[in-house]
Formats: sequence, structure tokens, C-alpha cells
Amino acid sequence: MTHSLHRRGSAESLQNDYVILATPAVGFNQEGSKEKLLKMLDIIYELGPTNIGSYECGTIYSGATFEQIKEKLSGVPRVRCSFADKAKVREFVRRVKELDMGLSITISGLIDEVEDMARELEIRPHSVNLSLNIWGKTGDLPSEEALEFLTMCGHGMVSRHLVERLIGQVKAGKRTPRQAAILVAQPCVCGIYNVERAEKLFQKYVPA
Amino acid sequence: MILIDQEKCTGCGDCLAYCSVGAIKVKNRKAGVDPHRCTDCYVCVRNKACPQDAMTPSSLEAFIDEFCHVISDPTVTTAETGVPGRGTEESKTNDVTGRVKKGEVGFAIDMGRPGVGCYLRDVEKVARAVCAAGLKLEPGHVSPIGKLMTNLETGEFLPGIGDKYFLSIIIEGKTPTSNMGGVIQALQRVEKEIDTVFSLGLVLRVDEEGRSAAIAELPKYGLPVPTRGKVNVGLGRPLVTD
Repeated sequence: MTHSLHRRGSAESLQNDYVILATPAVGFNQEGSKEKLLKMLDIIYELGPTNIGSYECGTIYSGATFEQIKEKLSGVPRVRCSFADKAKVREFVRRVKELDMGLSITISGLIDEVEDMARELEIRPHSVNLSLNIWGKTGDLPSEEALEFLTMCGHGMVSRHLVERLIGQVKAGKRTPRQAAILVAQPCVCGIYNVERAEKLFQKYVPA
Repeated sequence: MILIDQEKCTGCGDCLAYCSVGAIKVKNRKAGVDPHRCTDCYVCVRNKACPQDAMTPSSLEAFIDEFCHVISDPTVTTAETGVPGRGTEESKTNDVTGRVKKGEVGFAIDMGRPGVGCYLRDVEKVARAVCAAGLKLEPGHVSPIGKLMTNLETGEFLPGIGDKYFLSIIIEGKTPTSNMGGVIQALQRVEKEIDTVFSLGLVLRVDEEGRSAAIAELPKYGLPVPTRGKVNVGLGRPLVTD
């Protein structure tokens, strides 16, 4: 479960950055899971995610509508989305627990906060996946400023060049942080790119 | 690889921003793709990076080129594992599959990531190092990288593919908790020998309180206790309890 794991940034900027992954296990409980995931999509939509998408048609920021995301859910269905509000994540998990759908749910975020949420909901976490930083020839990495943006796409679809170009455009006053946030999120196909967080990160570059 | 119609290309350079591995260059006012660098992720095509619509994917003939495309393009489902994204569920479904059980530590070594990319020769170097340290790799029907190996016990790769460049690929395996330090130390040695980066993830089963004793061991190896992670909240059924 690494694809939303290695997000970088200060604790403050990661505070309201949650990813939810609902995943039927191939060969275990995938059969018949599509209807359950459609129900989860409805719950997510009602709560208001900062992004949502699907491998089949992209995200709400790359041109897909919520209806298309539902219609094109495949025979290997997955739900991926991001939230910028802990209360919404908590409510999603509460409702999914109540419906007892039996599908694996993972929440990516600050561990203490996710664990607090689990305690409040009387849920016992099963496993944890920890990010232990970047190793190897780290001198080749993009700048830490660029990493804050590009690690929000766990499939590596966002390039450092796009981030640098957009930061330059925001600095020059040619784009607003919101416009830049939408553009930087578009290459992400699954919907875990947190556009609200990206917008806040771009705010740093607005000329005084 | 991606082909650029030289008649249509105006050399504007807009496409450069969409390539995560820097495979596109503009020379003499025409864009071109380095065939040895392109990973066939198709980000440029999907995002209509070319205002002249000059970019198209070429057909992929060789096994390794097709494999690279499937791993790099998350919209494609990996045939062997039946999983989209990067072809592996890793431990997203650990509560149901039980890939990592109590008393074990799972390692997910995300080669080339973030934003660098990697040659398979470096991936093999890391795979061999962790195998020698006792990491048991996941088989190819669970983790796609296994399809590139001739020996899962040693981490040996198929011959002749070391120069293939990937956007990223995950080495996945597990070891008894008692050997976690051995694998970490092997990674601390081999990280100095590779020409790329990797992001390291650990997968741990937790107790009823959401804790794992292995976390407290990390500072022994110079590693900070992480504040960010992914929690499998245990709502999958049937639930694996061991």
C-alpha cells in the first residue's frame, strides 16, 4: 500500500491530508464488490472529497464527472479519494463500518490522528504501513518544494518540471494558486491528489 | 515509446512538463523522445501535452517494454496479478489476504521514487542485497516484479534487461520481525551503491491497541519513528487474525 504513503511536507501541511482506499482483494472478496463500492462512492460524494477518480476515466479535475466515475467502475473496482477534513473521513469510516461491507479500507494520514479516529469508532486497526523516508542517491531528487507537490501522486504521474513551471507562473502572477492546483492534479488518474493542500502550498509563491 | 510527429511539432516545449523522467528534449525547435528513457507511462498523451496533437504511443513488441508500460501506466491492469495501478495490492488488503502476519515485517522498497526513475540493474542490486539478508520476496502472481526474476530466493533478474529504465517498481517481501534489522542494515549498505533512490515502506501487523513492538526498534538503526503512514483499519472480511 505504498502509493499514497510517501507524501512529504511539514506536519502542519500534512495535517489535513487524508487518502481513503477501498480495495476488494483479488481472489478473496472481489466478486460482488462492485455494488458495495458504488455505495461507498455515494457516501464519499455526499461528504465532499477534495478529489476523487478512477483508473478507468480519470478524476473530477481531469474531466471525469462523478456519474462517469460510477458508470465506468470496472470488474476490478477500486475507490480512491482524498479528503482535507478529518471529520469527513471519520464519518465515512463510521458509515462503512455500520454497513459492514467487508471490504478493506486503508486511511493514509498522520498515524496518531488515524489511530485516534479508530479508537473513537471502536475499530481495531489490522496493519500499519510506515513511510521510512527516501534512500540512495538523494542528490538527484527534485527540490523539497517540488517533492511536496509531486509525492501527492503516488503513481509518479506528476513531473518536477510541471511543478516548477506552475510555481514560476504563480510567482509571476500568471496563475492563481487554485488554477495551478487544478493543473498539477490533472496527471493523477486515481483521485488521491489533494487539490486543497496543493492550493495552500501554491499560496506560498503568490507575490506580495 | 512515444512518437512525435516532426511535421506537426512546433518545438513549443509544452510537452516537457508532462514527462516525469525527462525523456523529452527539444533540439533545433523540434521535440524528440529518448527511447531508452521513455517508460511508456502515457502521461503526455493522456494529458494532451501537445497542443498540435503530435504525440502517439508506438506499438510495444518486446516483453520488457510491454511490462514497463503496464507497470508505469496505472490505468492498465497487470494480467498476472489482476490488479490495476502498479499491479500489486501490497498490503492494502492485508486484513483479508494475510500477506504480512504477526511476527513478520513486510518491506516495500519503492525503487526510483520519487521523481527519479531507475534502471533495472540498480533494482536487481537492491533485490539481491535484501534477499541475501533474508527477505523472502513475493511471487510474480502477487507482486509483478517477480516476473522479472529467475530466482526469487536470490533476487536474480532475467538476463539482458538491466539497462531498461522504469518510472518506479516495487520490491516486496517479508521477514521475521527478529530479522528486521538485518534487512535494514543491508539496505543501508546497498543504498550507497546505486545510481537512484528508493522510498522505503514497512508493513507491520499491529496489536489490539494499534501498536507494534517493531516500531520502537527503528531508532536502533538510526531511523526516526515515522509520523505518517497508512492504516488498514481492519474492516475487510473474512478477517485474518494471525
